[in-house]
Amino acid sequence: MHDYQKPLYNHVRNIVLSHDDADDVLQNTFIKVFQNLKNFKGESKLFTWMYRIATNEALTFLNQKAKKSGISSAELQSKTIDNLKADIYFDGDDIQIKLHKAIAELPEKQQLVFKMKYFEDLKYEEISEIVGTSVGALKASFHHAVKKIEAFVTTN
Amino acid sequence: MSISLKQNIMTSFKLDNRPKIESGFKTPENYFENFQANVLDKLSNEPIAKESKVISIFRKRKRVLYAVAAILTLALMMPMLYQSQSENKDLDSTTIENYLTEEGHPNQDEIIREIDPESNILILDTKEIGTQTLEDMLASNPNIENLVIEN
Repeated sequence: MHDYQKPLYNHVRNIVLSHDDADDVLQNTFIKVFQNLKNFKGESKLFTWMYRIATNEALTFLNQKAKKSGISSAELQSKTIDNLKADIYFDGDDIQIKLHKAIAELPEKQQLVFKMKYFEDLKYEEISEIVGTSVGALKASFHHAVKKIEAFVTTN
Repeated sequence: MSISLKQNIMTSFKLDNRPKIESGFKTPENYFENFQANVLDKLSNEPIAKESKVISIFRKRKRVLYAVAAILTLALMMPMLYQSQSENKDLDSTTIENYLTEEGHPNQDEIIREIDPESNILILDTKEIGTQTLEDMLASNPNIENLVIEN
């Protein structure tokens, strides 16, 4: 567990943005991992399997939270980013907040790909196993994401 | 920083042209040190029912189901077997009746053989009985007992 705590936390936090939410999701992730470890047949790497569980838990959490608040996931994300400055577990500057806003404008999967490549330094092959998309498609997606982010930051 | 330099940076924002921008997220002190204990604590409080696997009733009771299926198959076949035997008996009597009716002049010999093929009863040819008188028959045949047709 210790080896995967930090990378999985960072992965989850990048999706849900808030520390308290990331903590909830990460705990649920590891509980699910422990409960299903006996069913893990090694078709993929353990690391990939855990990342997949973490991603699903994070996205499900966001959707449920948005539904409870009566707003869309995108609106919830936007609200959370607007409150980042006041978040005691965020010590970024204006450019970092602007980067998060730019990323939030991307489609959900493209956001995931960008964060995993840019923030988490995962290899394309690893991202491919986690999200189930070819390396070629991922490279194209990342390239387009970068262009959109640069354009957003430039004009905002 | 001068306004023009700031504007310059903002107008040409390129991710590749600058050091990597971190997410800015941080964690509470000792968060990861306490994390494992928190998870193990939650795991021990998880209800057992969640961990139990749902086992298909069919997988568990396979042998019982196979046995029931076999019994049912036999039970369904029994009436069919009984019926075929009955039909044979019926067929036999029906065939005999029809034969007797349609043929008109049944040969006694044939009738008795039909009913009881194992029978050792000596059957006299009816034609012979017809031409000979009974008296002559009795007189000429020492084995009188053999002439008696047992019913």
